[in-house]
Amino acid sequence: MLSGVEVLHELEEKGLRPVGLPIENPDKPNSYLIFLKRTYDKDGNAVPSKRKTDIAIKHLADKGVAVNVALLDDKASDLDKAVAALLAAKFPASVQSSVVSLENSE
Amino acid sequence: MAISEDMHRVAHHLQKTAVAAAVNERDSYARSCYNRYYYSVFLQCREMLSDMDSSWSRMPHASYPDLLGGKVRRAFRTERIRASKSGDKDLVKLIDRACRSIAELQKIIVTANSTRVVADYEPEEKVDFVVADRFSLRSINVTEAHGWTISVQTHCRTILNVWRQSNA
Repeated sequence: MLSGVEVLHELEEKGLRPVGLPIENPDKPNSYLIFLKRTYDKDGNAVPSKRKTDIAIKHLADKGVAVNVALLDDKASDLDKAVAALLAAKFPASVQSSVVSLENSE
Repeated sequence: MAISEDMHRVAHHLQKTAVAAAVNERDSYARSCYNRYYYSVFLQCREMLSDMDSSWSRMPHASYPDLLGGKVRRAFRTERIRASKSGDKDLVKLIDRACRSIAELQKIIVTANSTRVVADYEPEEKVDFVVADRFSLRSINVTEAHGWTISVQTHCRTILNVWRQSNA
């Protein structure tokens, strides 16, 4: 099986730069976990694109290594916060006991 | 849901303890907090899958994303075709929503599990205490981890609702 550093090199060759070293998945043989930061260019396109990510993962799968990607997507996280705020504003009574109380108690 | 809620409360307690702890102790509390937030996610998913098919409750947790994206999504696709043919627009909409929930749930499971693995198996990678009451591990902010429970709860309800309607 490829080492974490080798997996990182393979990913970088395919244009992906994960956050930190790939980690061997203790629950699955020949499997790595990677953290990938997703940003957006000025036209709103995801960087790296899903296609580029899929190609890199397929490339490693062909070498017998499965890769699970944990996406760090700031836009999605901002959207979650926006939806929570919208729900809290529209349905304060019903949301009070769930989203808002969780946020406040954090 | 009760056990996963307890797990979430324990995680949150560990989160607050980590922030208040001495510098030499806070890393350990913070790691444990990510671990418990993951287990809250896992327990909710297991409960949902067990309700869908009792044999699925014994499946290893690493297989959950594939199970959701495979058997569950295929069952929804088949049901969508049936609902579409019979003109049940409401059910088609519900199935589309449930498919989106599957995708979101898969993402959360993979992210939560990956963070848990870093927390448990990579002790040399320290938790980053960025600001006074917030920290992150491998760029996963604790605020995001805190939000997993309620997101998973919502997605599981959506998926289970469609599953029950499809199998009624």
